[in-house]
Amino acid sequence: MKNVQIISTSNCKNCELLYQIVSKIVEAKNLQATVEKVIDVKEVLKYGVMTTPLLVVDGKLKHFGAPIPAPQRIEELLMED
Amino acid sequence: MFEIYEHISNYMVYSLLSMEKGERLSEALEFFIHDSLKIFTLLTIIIFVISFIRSYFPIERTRDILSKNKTIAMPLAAFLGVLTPFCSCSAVPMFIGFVEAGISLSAAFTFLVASPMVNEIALGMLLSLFGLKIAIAYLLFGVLVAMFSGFLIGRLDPKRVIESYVFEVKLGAQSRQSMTMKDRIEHSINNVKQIIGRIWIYIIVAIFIGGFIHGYVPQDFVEGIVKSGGLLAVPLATLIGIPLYSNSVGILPVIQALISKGVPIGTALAFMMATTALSFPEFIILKQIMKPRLIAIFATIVGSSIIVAGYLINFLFQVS
Repeated sequence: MKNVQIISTSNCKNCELLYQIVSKIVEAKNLQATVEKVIDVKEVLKYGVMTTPLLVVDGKLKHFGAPIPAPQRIEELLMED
Repeated sequence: MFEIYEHISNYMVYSLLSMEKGERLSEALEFFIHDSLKIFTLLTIIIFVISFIRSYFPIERTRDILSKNKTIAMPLAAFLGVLTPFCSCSAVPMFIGFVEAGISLSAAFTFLVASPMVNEIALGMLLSLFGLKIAIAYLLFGVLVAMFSGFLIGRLDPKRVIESYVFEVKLGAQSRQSMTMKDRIEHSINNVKQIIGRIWIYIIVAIFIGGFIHGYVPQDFVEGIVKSGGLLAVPLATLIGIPLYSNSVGILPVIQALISKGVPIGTALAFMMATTALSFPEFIILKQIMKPRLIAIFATIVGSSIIVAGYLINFLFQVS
């Protein structure tokens, strides 16, 4: 079971967009994964980045900042180990 | 370059819908179609070009440039603030990253004001819609407002106005993978899609309001309000702008209509800067690093600087 987190400092449009795309992919591809949105500055800082949103899979930072990647690329990021 | 849109909007209103020429409704509709086509084309081109340019200036690079050039950090922060991609939810981690890198508070605040207020896409739109002089006024005065506000706020005792955890954070150095040309182009296309996907509805509404002002609000009426407002027009425009939360691109069609009806340029630009630099959602985000007292000071200083800039721009455009 993978743990996918979308992390940001506020629930802004980019974070919501990323969350929706990730949720759709997980559902469409029937991935064994939980998807959660984390709104916490300290979580953002933990990964040492200055731009949001963050895409974190099992504690590993896969993407940060806007624009978020195209859905196809997000899918690849979710699949890889 | 935009003649084609005149033909299209003409054709749609008078041939397809067979409306009468010279009527208010048909003219407003023609204006609406014409402006929508023009603004969305411009936006697509401008966002693409700017996203491509700024893919060379990620925030980590901005931070490194600022921390290495301490003596000219403030003007540099203002100009880099204009260039750096910025989503208001990144304001807090950026600010902390800057402070941690040893960048002065004045420069960090300058960046924090300039980045949302002077928007490079709005700059491109102003340039195409109103010409060079107004675009330069927006850029120059926006940068000055940011530097002046940053300078004043940077004089405060940081420990009393900024949440203490900001000074304790240790950011790990996260490096960004270098981009290939293909990456940059993909990045820019994504940005066009995402920004337009996010703001198209606001732009349509703004063009609609602009079209309404253009077709239905008499010039005398607008001029009357501006005149009766007199010297108070600029502060009033600024105050009205604060609770209105819009990005500067979204508000442009309204600004365009107001200017065409005789609202002075400085008053219109002050309104535009206030809607973007000061807003309640922005304050809520800033509250994560600033104590409430600082948010009040921040709003007062930035607001007053915008008012002064509005007067100065009005003065300069009257003289020239």
